[in-house]
Amino acid sequence: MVKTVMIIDDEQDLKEMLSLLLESNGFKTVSASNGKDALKILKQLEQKPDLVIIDMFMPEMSGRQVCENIRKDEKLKDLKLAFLTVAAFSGYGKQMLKELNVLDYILKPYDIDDLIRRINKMIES
Amino acid sequence: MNINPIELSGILSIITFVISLIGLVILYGIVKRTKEKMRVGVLFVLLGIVSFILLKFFEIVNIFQIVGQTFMTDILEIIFILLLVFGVWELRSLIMGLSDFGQAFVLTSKEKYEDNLVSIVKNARGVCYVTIEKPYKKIVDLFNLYGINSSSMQFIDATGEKGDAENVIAIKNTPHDIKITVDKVLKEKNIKVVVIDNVESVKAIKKFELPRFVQDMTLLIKANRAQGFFIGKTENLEVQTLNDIAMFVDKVTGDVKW
Repeated sequence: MVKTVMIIDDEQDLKEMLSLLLESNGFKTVSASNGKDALKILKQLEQKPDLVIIDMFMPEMSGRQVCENIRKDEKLKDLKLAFLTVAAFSGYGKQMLKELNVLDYILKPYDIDDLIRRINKMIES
Repeated sequence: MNINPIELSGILSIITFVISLIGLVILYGIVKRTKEKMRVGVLFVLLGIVSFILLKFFEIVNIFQIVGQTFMTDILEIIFILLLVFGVWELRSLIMGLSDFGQAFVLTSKEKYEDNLVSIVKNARGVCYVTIEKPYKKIVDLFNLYGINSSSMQFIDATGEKGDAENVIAIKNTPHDIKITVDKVLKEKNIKVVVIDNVESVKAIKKFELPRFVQDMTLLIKANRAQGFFIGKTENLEVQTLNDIAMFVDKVTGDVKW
């Protein structure tokens, strides 16, 4: 069965590139440009995505806030989440990832093979 | 020259024995000066060294057949490894902090702002102080008031004031200017600690971009093998921004419970 990945990123080019990358590797993608839209789309979707990838820095609602809102929502709280970021988390950041039950983070720029491997791993976890 | 392997082994054991004794004295000195929360870990390592010395002692007496074969060396070997593991486990936060050149977000109230600043710089060497809110002269006056000699500090003044001292670089208050100047200073001087005072005063930046600025700065400071202190006055920062910034540091300290 085709797996669906949702991408939430305010940077249009990066979002489209990631969508293309994932689609060319057999995934179906859904995308949103900010947290509010993403939450709206997620609530409307009958078939929830297998993984939601969230950019850390977005206007209006940061990646962490999007994540908090998903965890608060009864229908969305079990979604698998990952962050998009430019640097590895350490110390306090790692603790927050645990608290928010975020599976992993994807570093930009992507290494394609590593990206696909990590996404598959997260979906199967 | 032929050396009997047993003799060579004995000589090596004696050398290790002597080095361990010196290590024991040094470590004892460290234990006495160590803060309470680290003391248990260092004590375990100290006891580990003691068992290592005993281990070497029994090895020597075995090699030179002063006493017959004993299983004491095996027991001491196990004790030594166990104590070392316990010690390292107790000291893990310290070791981790050292390995990634800890970046701290110092949350402070206006009332405790001065105390927090002073506690950061009073014993620090190689300080690069980036002042974004108050002109560097005010910071120097403040340090003078607390008896801190700031002449060896490198100041970067992003308040718009002109720098008239050798140890001051005046720059524009933009994330770009702050980043490139800090990077230059870190590369050219022997800087161990960078203080950013304070994050909410950075201009030409949208609110949601502030955590990204902090993340960029932590990467830059870590890459240059220095420690970073990002001051944040809680009165001026929204809780969501505080939470977002906290994601990119190793620890959150200061007087404000958060």
